[in-house]
Amino acid sequence: MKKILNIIILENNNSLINSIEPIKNELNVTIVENKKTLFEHLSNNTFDLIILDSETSLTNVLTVLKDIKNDEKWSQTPVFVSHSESNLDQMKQLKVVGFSGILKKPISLKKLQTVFERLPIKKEITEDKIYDLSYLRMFSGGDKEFEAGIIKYYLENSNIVTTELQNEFDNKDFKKIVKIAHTFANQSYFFGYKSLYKNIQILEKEATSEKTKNVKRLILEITKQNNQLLTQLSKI
Amino acid sequence: MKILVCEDDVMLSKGIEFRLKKEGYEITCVENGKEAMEILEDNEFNLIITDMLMPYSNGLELIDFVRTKQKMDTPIIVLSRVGDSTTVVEAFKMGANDYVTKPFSPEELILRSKRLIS
Repeated sequence: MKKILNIIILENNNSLINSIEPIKNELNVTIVENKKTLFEHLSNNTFDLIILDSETSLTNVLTVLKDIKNDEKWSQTPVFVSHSESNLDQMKQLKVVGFSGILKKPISLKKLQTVFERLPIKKEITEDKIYDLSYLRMFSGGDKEFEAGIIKYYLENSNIVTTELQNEFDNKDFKKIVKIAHTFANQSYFFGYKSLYKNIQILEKEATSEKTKNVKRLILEITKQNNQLLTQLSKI
Repeated sequence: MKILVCEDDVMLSKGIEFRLKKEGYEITCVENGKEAMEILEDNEFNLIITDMLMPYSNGLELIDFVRTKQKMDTPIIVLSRVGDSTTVVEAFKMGANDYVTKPFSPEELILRSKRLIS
């Protein structure tokens, strides 16, 4: 399920909120006009991003930023500063205190979306679970030790398989690719990553027909997908 | 009751071994038809479960060995892949008793195994 980003903005004009309007359904935005209200909200809520508008006065922004960074409860929350004029000295001061980046006005929707995409929380959103262990559990009958053994085997060996696929492609040995893909498809099925399983099946078919371009593309895609799967499986 | 499992995919082989052992069967796993033939020279089993596509000697060669050379009537279940009906038909012609299509439910394999062993 997609998480709605929780953002707090310190500003006393409507420049930021107007920029956000087209994507407001993806955001939970809180606007505050002064430092006191900002910290009241920070104390009672968890935010994914703080935006400080420097038009409220740089001195004020610097003080607020220092106070944010000095409190461990929200010191890790990314803080962006919006401003109209580039001033190197000001930027240096903000950098020393520890801001995450600048949003230069006028702030476009594209700029904001780029910032959101880079947030740690956004990365977590895109890393939805890609595996499904139902099939493995059908075999294990709930035996965790067996499941762990199968996962460990896959973690240790599947990278070898993708390397073999690439090596056999370099050797133009399509028969071996067919054989490797045949076994690899069954192995990947244990983890319910349907797209990976489907791609391996297609690879087996395309390698049988010696379709070089497709085989090359599929091996790259399978390797990428398998690496994603391994990353997630290693966290179980 | 002894079952010989001939499957070169280690993960699937481990899965089959794990589930059939839970059912009380004694399981021997080998990774290709050649190994299976060597074991069958000196051992008897109540059931053989074999993959078709394997290195060295494939499933059809194993079935031929069991039925023609060894003249054994040990039940054989073939593990086939989706859409490989030609191989399944060939396996039946050579004497296989049943087949399951990969990926299969372990329950299905257990039921088919029990039916053939009894």
